[in-house]
Amino acid sequence: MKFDRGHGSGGLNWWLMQRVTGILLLPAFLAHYIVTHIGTEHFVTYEKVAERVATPTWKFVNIFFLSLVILHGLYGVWSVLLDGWARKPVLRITLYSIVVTVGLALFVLGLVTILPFKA
Amino acid sequence: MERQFKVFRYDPESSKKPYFQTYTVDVQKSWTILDALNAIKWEQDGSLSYRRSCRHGICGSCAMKINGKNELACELQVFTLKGVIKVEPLPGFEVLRDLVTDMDRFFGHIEAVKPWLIAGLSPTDKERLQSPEDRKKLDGLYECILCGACTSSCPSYWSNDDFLGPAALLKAARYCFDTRDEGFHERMDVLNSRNGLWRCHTIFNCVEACPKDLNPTEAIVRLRARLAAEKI
Ligand code: FES
Repeated sequence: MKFDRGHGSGGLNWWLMQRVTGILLLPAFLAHYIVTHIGTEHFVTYEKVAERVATPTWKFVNIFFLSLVILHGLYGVWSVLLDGWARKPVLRITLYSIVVTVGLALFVLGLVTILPFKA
Repeated sequence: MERQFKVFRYDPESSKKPYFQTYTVDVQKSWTILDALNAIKWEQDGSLSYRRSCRHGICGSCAMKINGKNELACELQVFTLKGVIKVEPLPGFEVLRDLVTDMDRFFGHIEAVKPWLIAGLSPTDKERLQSPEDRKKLDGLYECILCGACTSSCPSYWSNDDFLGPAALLKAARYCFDTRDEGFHERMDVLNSRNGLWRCHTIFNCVEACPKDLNPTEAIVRLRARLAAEKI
């Protein structure tokens, strides 16, 4: 029986992206945790968080963080689907479209929350 | 000494569902599982089907699941196992009859990685020599007997049998890391495809299953590193 190489995403580039985002997410999560829960005196309050999130540097950091999470998480989902669920072409294209749409929707939702945010 | 064997039975021509049949065999101390299966077939039940040929762990025909683990029936000795011995066909492959599985797809995947030396376009009437050091680099890659125990133990292959699988990838590594071979780019299209190298999730079942103690996972990781180095 001839090998079906398959088409579309699933090769080296995406695999590398998953590793690189995974490595970047580790310190990002750690930094987020330290800044939010350890760096602040006493309790986390809305005012303290809002003040930080409204600065341009933190807006950039949060958009970067958001991109990493979406790319890493959704490629993980796509990878699981490729491992067995997305075998038939029609189903695969449908699932792929859903994954991409969800990713874009979450990214846009994040952007419209982060960018105009004021303390 | 009498031992009991619980053997998977399936006949596609009968309406019966697959079932297990228990046989009691008077085994000798030195017997392998294959000896016991032969005794069943020759003395008790001629309808039992299984593959075997060399009887020496060389041809790879007799791989099957024995007490939950993929093994070569001709290498595993009966005395090493306790209690009733359960014998099943290799998982992950379609069962044709009893312990005989369909290996068509498996060999199709082996063929896809071009398992031969691609030694450039310059024809030669001499041997293509290799130094002992370079030959040594193939240790752990060339010994595969194509029994299918590794691919059949791979959960990634169970869920997607279009995945090349550890045996085909080990075979690819055997040629890609041969210093006389120039076919890496020719094989790259298959290795870097959606069903190629990247579907392995480093589960290591293949390493545990290989009756020749080979390490397909390591071969896959080395192929990935080489592919990444070539592409980036
Ligand atoms: S009969 Fe050849 S490997 Fe077992």
